Amino acid sequence: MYQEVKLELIFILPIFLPFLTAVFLFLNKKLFNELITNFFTLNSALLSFAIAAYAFIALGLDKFKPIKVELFQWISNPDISIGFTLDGLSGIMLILVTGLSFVIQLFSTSYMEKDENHCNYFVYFNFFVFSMLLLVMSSNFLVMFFGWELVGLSSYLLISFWSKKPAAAKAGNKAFVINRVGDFGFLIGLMIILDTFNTFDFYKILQNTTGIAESTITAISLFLLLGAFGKSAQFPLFSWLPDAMEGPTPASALIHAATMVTAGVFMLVRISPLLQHSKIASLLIIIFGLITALLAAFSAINQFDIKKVLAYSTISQLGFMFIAIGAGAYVAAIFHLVTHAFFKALLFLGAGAVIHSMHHEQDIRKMGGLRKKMPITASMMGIGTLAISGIPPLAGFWSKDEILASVFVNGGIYYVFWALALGAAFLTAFYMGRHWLLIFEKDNGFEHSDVAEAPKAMTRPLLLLGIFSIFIGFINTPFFHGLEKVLHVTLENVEVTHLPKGITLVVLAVLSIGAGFTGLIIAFLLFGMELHKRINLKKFKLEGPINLVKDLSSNVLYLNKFGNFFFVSGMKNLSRKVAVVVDGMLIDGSVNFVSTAFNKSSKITSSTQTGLVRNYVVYFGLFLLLLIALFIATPLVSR
Amino acid sequence: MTTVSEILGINYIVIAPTLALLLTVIVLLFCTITISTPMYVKKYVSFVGILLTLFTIFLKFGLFLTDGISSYFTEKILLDEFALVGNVLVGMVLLFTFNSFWKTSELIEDKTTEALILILMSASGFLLMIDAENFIMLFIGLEIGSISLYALAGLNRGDQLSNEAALKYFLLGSLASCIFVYGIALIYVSLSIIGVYETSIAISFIGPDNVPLTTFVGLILIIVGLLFKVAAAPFQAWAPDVYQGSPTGYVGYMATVAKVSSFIVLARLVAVSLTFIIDQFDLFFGAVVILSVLAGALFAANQSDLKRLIAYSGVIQSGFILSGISSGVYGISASTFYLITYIIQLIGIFTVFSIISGQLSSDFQISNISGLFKENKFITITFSIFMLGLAGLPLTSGFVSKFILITNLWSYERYILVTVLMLTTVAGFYFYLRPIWVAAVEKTENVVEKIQVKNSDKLLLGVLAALTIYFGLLPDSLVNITRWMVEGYL
Repeated sequence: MYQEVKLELIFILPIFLPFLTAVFLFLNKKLFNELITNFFTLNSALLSFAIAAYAFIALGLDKFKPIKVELFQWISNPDISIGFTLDGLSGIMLILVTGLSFVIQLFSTSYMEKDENHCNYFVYFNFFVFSMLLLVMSSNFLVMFFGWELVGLSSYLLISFWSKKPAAAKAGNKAFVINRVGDFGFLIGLMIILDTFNTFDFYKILQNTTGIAESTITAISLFLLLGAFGKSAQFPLFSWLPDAMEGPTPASALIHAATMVTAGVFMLVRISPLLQHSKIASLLIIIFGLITALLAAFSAINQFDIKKVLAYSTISQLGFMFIAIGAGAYVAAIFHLVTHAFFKALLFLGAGAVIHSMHHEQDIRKMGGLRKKMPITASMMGIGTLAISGIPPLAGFWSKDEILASVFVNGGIYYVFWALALGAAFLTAFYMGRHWLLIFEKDNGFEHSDVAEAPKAMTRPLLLLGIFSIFIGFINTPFFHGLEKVLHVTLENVEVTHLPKGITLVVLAVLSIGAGFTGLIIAFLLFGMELHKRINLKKFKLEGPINLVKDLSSNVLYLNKFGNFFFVSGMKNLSRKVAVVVDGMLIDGSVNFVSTAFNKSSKITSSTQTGLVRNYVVYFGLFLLLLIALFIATPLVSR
Repeated sequence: MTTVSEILGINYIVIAPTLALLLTVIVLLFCTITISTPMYVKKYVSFVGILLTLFTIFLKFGLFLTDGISSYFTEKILLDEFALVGNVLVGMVLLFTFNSFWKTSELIEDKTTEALILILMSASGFLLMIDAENFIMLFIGLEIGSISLYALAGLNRGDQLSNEAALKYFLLGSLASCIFVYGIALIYVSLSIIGVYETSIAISFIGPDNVPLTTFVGLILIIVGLLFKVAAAPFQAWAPDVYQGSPTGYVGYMATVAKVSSFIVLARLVAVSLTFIIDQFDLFFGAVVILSVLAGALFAANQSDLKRLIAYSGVIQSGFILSGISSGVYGISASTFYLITYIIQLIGIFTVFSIISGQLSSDFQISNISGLFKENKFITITFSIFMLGLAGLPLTSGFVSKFILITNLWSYERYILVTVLMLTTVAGFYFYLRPIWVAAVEKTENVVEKIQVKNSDKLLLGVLAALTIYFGLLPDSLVNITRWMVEGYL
């Protein structure tokens, strides 16, 4: 008992420590210089990571039995309370968020050096960490919704951090508005949940799914899914994420690559006991995941902004996680979430280091040949590239292979899905190879005389993440099911798709490695050896198709333009009409009528308040008689 | 010795709060007529008297725990949950309004003691009224309380409005008392009983179908007498004039204490005496509720005097509270919750008014607070909290109380009442938000200058505002208390 109480208290700490740090820094903004700010924020991040690690280990010793803490009950019926939980799932997220937060803050201290709003950046950053932890540690949907909204807010603040740039302010708005569409769905889902289950508590809801009609469960899942699509930038709500790259690069690394955008995946795994009862929702998830993975991977092929390539790659990888959820491989989804968090954070921080050394130049056509100038960054980003491409034994291989194999094992139409996902994996390797080669290898004829290796505060986090990107995959291999054991209790009542056995698995693994290698090799042939310049494209009539692909890719299949034309302009015209006709005439007219009528009748009644006692006495007597008459007229009264 | 007192049911603890107040009054009187007493002595004597009253109320809880619901003094004084809650509320009203009424009394120098005596006597009367089992006892308590209030309204003799208010209050109040006594007489004529419990026993004995009409009319007249005191429409006409004319420092006390005691007595009457025939009062109570909320909203909408505005808002709130009292036992508990949160806000608002316009002022125009926010942030914020609480904005206790009340009405399938109450709430936002707008948002030339607020006032306003927010966020504790009050009457 004693042990439990201690632990319960301690896992609350990492949630509120970042919040306290944010408030503390905000209050002392004018007093603190950069050094003191860095000192506080880094120590607080390190402390919360240490506590998180302790709590996680203690949880592990207790066989990952969930711990619940209810801070207080707000309303007893319906049961709405403020509480937190620590189980395998939220434990992993706790470790991930606090750990990456520390590493990325370490990087940020150097990246944000001499920024005029240096302290504000860390205030927002800590506030983000707090909101994210609120989201993942909640034991009910209400607290999760608080976190869900707050991460949206802090993401908005960080995207438009350099709000003097019009593009940044615009990108922040776009992210906020598109997320609103998703949140709208999420909110409706919550209302249906409250109506059906009369509580927000995860455990009470997820253990009582048997008696509920499948249509209700599907409705809940679909509305929550809309929320997940918004937050995790899935098709069709993905276009905010590439624009969100206007924010500071380390913030992008944490928010728009490693943690916040995975909130949708986390939430879907959390509600997996519900989700498994809805075939439609699962099918929709896998289809939309596939569309997203392919579309984003295709769009990444011809991007020239160092961060936008990574943004599209993030969307594509999130698509993979959704594919896993749709295929019922919840463990694989979380596994990919974890590995992706590490190598994508590594890639983003590497990109940040490059941008820093290139004096805020982001066009990869103006880079090239940076490998000799920045050897550590180049090698670490190389590791990241290999990891994301799925080259064994790096992290990405294990998780991606598990996803592909889980899709395959479902059979039927899922064979097609598997083939498409394999194609997306191939594209991933291709554009990531291109990305690395264009930055570090290919000679573009630019003199980079003033470019030097990034400072140590930047390379150290890179090295750390590089090591993790290599080895983190070993937590859940076909030979060692570590993650499955961690999530075992959380997914107790859930049918998780398992890996195929024996020779099938080997063949699938070889195929997925093959896809990765092929992609990398083609990228090397095209951009490393510049093959297309040596062969005559006109002879094979390839120039047209290649240009078409380039054009479509850099314009994201013209989806944004279509969306702008259809939704933005169309909505503007429609809303103008609605404003004039419906709002102006109908609603305003009726509201004005009601208010004038109210005012007039108020004036008429006021005239009865004469101030003369004789009138009051008359009213008194009259109304008394009226009331008695009314009472006698009541049918129930006996005479 | 013991046997005689046992037969008569003499128990001094049960009337100890009244006795404590009487004792304080006698000490004050003695001080004034014998030697010239400095002001601070009077202050401490009256404050200690109030604390003593609170302590004796605490003693009554002990008596209740040992004896349960019991009656004393040959079935004239009753000790039950309603009495306890009512006693506590009156004690709290005394405590919270002490600051205002002491400062007002201090200002009318030659009549300080009179004012204090009137206030304490009225409190003792209302305590007696709450404790009464016998209708005659109820009437005596009501009169002791009311007559003191009439005098209190006209205490500022230099002010014409104050004189007018006192006279109006007295004339209309005596009319209401007449009707009240007539109701008692009718009940006595028809059933030969004059007790709260006796009535319900008699009704159950002759059967709800055979109750004579005279009893019904008598009960209605008694209820009307009480409705007059809580200013429910159509008997609200006195309230705005009296609130407007009376010294601002006293209005908070006058309004709350009468409301608290009358509503507690009404609740007991409904829960005990009318248990078997409550269905037949549905239409009556429904009519009063709808009239109250509609009349209150219509009168309040164009009000430029803030004290009158609060008076009309009081009419609306009375309608709300009545709607709960007439709809089941949980309705009574919801109403009590409503009543408690309402008096907290009411005391707060009148404290703010008396700080801004001075203790003795009578009318208080809305222009008096224009641009208040600029120099007096604290007052404006607390004032806004109270106003928003009255309006029923979420996160304040006003929202929770309306929510509990309306959900209860919904479960009793009183959809018409629910609709009317909701619409009134919407209309209410118009006139509750206007003073806030004038105080904080509207641009104006002549801003209210910085007002020196005493620390005691700050503490009081802070506590009341904090309670308003607290009961809006965590209403559980108070809900449980009000549930406990009605549990025995399920």
